[in-house]
Amino acid sequence: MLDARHIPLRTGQTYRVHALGGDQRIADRLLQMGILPGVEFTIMRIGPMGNPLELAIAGGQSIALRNTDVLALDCELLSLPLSAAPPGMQHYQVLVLPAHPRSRRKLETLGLHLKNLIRIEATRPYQLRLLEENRSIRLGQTEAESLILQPIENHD
Amino acid sequence: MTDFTVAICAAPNTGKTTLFNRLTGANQTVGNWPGVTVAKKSGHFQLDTHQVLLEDLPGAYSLTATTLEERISRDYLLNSPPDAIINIVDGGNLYRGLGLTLQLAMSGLPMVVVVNMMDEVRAKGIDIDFDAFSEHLGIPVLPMVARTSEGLTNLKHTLLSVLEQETVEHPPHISFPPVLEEAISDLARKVEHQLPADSDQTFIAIRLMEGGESATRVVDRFPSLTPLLGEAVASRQHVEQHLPFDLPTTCAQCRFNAVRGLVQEAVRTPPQLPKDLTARLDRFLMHRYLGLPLFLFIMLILFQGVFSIGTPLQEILAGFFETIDNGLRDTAFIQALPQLAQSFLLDGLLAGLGVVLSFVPIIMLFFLFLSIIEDSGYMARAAFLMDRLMHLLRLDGKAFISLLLGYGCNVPAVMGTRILSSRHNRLLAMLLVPFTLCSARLQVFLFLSAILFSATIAPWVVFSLYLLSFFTIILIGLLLRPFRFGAAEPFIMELPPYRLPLARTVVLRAWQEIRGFLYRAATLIVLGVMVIWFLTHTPTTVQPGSMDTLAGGIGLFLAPLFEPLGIQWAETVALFFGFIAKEILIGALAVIYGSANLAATINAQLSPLQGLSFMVFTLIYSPCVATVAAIRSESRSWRITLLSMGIGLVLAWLASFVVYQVGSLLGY
Repeated sequence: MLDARHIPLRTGQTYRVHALGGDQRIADRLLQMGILPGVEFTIMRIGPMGNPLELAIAGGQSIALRNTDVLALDCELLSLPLSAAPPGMQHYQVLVLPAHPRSRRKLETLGLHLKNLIRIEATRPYQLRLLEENRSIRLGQTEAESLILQPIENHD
Repeated sequence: MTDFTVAICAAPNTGKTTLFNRLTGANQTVGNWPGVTVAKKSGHFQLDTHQVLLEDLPGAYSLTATTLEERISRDYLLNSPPDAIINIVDGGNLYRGLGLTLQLAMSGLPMVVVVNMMDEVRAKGIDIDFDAFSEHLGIPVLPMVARTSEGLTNLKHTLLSVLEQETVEHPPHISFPPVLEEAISDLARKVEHQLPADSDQTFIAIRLMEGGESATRVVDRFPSLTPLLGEAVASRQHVEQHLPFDLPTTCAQCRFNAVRGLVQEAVRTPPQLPKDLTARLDRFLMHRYLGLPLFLFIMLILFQGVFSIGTPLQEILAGFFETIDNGLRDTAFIQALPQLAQSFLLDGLLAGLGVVLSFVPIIMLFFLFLSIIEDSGYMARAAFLMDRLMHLLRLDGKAFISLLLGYGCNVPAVMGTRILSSRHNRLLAMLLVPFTLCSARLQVFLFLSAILFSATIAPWVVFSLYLLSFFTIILIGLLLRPFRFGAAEPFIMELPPYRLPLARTVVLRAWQEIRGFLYRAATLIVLGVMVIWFLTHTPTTVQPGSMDTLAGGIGLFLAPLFEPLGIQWAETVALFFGFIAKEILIGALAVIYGSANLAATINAQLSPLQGLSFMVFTLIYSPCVATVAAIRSESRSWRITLLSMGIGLVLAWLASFVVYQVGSLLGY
């Protein structure tokens, strides 16, 4: 399981809360707002100078929480746009393709499809390793922002 | 004569205040909950033949009290249960709001649930089935748009039938895991033996098992339950061994599971919501780089608005007082009075009233703009943008707005600290506000620097005073960092959707602030002005403010203290006047020097360095009497008030000392 402590918090990442650990007062307050273990949230926005974070909670509410308090929650990374993922050995599966037709066509010509397994070799410019075909492709920033990935356990 | 008491209980941002205003109109009083600085509002309205007292409980997310507001609500419901509760939930966010609804419903008190902001709900294409909702909840649930009074008649009608017990309510049963269910019903049976039948045993049993302060309060109210305390603790431990989470988490989970079921039964959401206005506005207003400049621009408009409208109003009021003053001076009645009484009435009492009233336009305008910013939902965004910076001073983003308001006028800025989320934040912000360079101080600095410095240097002098003000705030903030005023509260801030503020609510708020200011601060201001009058006008035989008056005597006595600052006795006496209002420092100097050409005299009396030292002292030393009165009335603590003045005086002396001594060493 990839949790919030392993990769930097970035806009667009979606997490599931497993436990409201850390600060008891934060946990109590979240409980009362109906934010319970099992809930999912997406980081919508990061404040100037990296703090606080705006979280869109599944169900409709938006709350602001400080960086450290988010990190204190025990949560699992569910999905993230390519632009919010660090390069490394972590494997990902393509979860959602960009909605925009032009980006979609571009990925098609590159041979990137839904459910493809990839590894991120470099970011800005983005270079992905297609694990099943054992070749690398390069993507632009626009595609990277709308290509949603799901981290998966490495099998090797 | 009150027939029924009804309490409004709801989470923040649900339109609680709007509904309260709709029901009571102007028939309301604002006080305080006993022993705390949280405002308590109550009002009356007529329901059929009954007179109903409506109590507005502070915003609370739950009855498991974490915040002061929640504790107040819980204790109120426990200790003096009302005849009925009106619970409001935001229709756009039913899930969160219903958590509290279920807790309230379990208390067994009669209640009505109001689903507010139905216009927004409909605009989103969401459909709520109120019949199914009421049936599943076992309590009447009504649609409402409090902003437009839609559904108000229906609410009154339903409330009446609940109060007259024509509507039979059956509060919902929340299913807990079996082990917990057994423990609760076990305990509830034992509670039943001890208490009258009409109390809700399950509710009390859960409070007992929660332990801590929640249980203590129950036992305070029902001492016969004390023997059950130990049993409740053991029972909780037993239960928690068999559950994956602790008791509060489990209870909340069960509650919100029930809520999820309710929402599923009664609410039909269209699969795709339109990309709404809030998201579009936030793209700009919350932008990483554009957000802050836009925020500063909005604040600039606020300042321009307040002062371009407020200053002419203040001038009209000042002219009005001058006319009264002149008119009175010539009346036979005043002429017949001895010199001392004449001066007391006109220069003391009337002048004091003039100072009080001169703040009214500014306070009114500030709060008009402030409530627009708050009600529209922008306040939370501004706080979001500024949070990182203010966190350095152990404040949250909202405090920045208070400080910024201080650069206009300290009085509404101190009053505005009420929007902050904890007592710690309120008090800390209150202590920092007096170091902002308000418009009254600015007048003094513009005047003096223009006389003492060349045209090229003068703007830089004023600019550096602004810098000194920022620097002082940060310094004091850091110095006070280790201190905690009241319990800390976590920073979790809701970012509500943008809404159009209602003119009625905005105006009512401004009116309440002015009334509050006149009631609570006016006496202290008039008193302060009269003390200064007394010091500068006794004995009566000498020129007011001269060396032979009491103030002059104090000035001479303090001369050794002020000498290292380059401040002479005449300016020391002027500082006394400055306590009434900073802008009258200049006029006071003219009186004390007794000179026709003030600019020339100041030039002759003060070196530029002495002038600078004097301005630094004026910036930092204790704020004007109106600000002190505001601090006293907001903090309800003389210690904080005196601390504020003390920090100011000590720091002003130190800063002026450094400026004057370093300047002298450098040969200025």
